[in-house]
Amino acid sequence: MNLEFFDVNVYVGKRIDDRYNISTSIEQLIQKMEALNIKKAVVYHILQRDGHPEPGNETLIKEILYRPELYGILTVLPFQTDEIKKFNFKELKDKKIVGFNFFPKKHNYLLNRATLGNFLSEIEDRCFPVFLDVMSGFSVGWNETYSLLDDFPKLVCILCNLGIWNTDRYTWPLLERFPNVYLESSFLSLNEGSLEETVKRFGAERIVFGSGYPERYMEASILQIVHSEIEEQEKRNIAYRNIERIIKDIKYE
Amino acid sequence: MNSLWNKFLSSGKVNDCPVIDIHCHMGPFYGSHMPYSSPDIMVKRMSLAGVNIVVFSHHYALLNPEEGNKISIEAVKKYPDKFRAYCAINPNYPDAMKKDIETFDRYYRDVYVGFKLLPDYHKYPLSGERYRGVFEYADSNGIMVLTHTWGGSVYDGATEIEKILKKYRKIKLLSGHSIHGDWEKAIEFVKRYENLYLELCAVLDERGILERFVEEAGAERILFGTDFPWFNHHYYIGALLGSSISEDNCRNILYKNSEKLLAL
Ligand SMILES: [Zn+2]
Repeated sequence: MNLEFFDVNVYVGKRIDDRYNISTSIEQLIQKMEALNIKKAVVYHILQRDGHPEPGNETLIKEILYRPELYGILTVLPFQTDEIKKFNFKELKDKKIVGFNFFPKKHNYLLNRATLGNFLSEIEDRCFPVFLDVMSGFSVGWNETYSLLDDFPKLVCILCNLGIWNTDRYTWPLLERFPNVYLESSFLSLNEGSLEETVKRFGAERIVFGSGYPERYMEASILQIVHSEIEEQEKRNIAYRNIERIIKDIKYE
Repeated sequence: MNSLWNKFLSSGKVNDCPVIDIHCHMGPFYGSHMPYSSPDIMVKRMSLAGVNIVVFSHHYALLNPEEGNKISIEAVKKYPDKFRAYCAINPNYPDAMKKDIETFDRYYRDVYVGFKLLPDYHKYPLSGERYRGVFEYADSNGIMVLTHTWGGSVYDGATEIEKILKKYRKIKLLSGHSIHGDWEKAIEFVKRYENLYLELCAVLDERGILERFVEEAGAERILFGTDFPWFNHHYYIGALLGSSISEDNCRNILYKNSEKLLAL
């Protein structure tokens, strides 16, 4: 079967530490995508996380502008300190921005109603996905994720980098309770049976393909999904269609 | 990219590349949902990726060897073509350990192919006195010992491993997870001690490490392992094939090195 992919978990740019040469430029990323039939990707620039979101977001916007296969995610800080400008949602469409991410542990703030309530309500209403990293130690843990969703139950929330150990005991209650929660696939693919069993209970609509590149091998996630014990249609939804639909539903106006 | 990638991508398994997974488990585990951990399901899942043989230690055997090793033996007897087991050792139960060493020979090759140690979980250092019986037995018989190894651990980190490598030169010591995180030590040791093997479970979830291992130390003593049924075979095979190492080296890692160890 010839599966086309849309990868939602990729970053580009030079890492602050790069002992094993994994940093990836936009050009290298596109080459890799072509080789593996990854037609599109949602990316952020590592500068957004390890430098500062303001120049990071600007760099990202510039780098993806003339790359039709790439979409971007902007990184948010508390607006109270005026370090990042308020977003003009209408303009984000032309800039191909399809969501937001947060690194509260790395950037030293709390991702909650007190800090970002108005913004979170607005993106909840506009169906802008947030790409929430739950494992890396830079972003949020499960407690914060649960609280955030209790406060913003309709938030379109794509949980990324779920964790090396199987996370079904954390993610399944969220899938059960919050209709707009999605799981990025890379660690579901790593954990034996997790992808198949999640599909069996919640449907393939709740999973979106991600590779974790450049920290992890794209080939790993691809090979697992292609040969997973689910229906062909379900594979296509996970690989490409679900994220395409999520992006289509964003209300920019 | 090597031609094995296209073959695995189109068929899921490759007849002339029969995978051996040298680091596996069986049964449920407290810290992690493992939906496909029974022997029957494991055999079915192995066939999807063309995994010919897995060598496992049952989770229960690692907790309570006296009861758990019996379950491992039964599983191998049920699927003699698919499973081999490690005799699990828990140094906190020296009597059971002594008995297991005494009866090891009865099961050697057909059931057991070596011993499995888990110092980090048993909170007992590799070089501790209670392990001596296992190491001496394995050393005098050239038997495989797979031990969990983790960078920085006082139980099975680099310092402890080197004490064993210096003392026992005939044992085949498999470093499970390749002293995870302490990659440069793993490279240094595998170059220095020719009875050391690096096992790839939890190594392949980070890009770049395997490439460095192979570049520095070759692929002859690197072994494919996944902790299955923790982790998925296709995921790890994809990772291996996605690395920049050659097809010959992929084959060494996926089965040739382990075939030699298991004398298949
Ligand atoms: Zn293990």
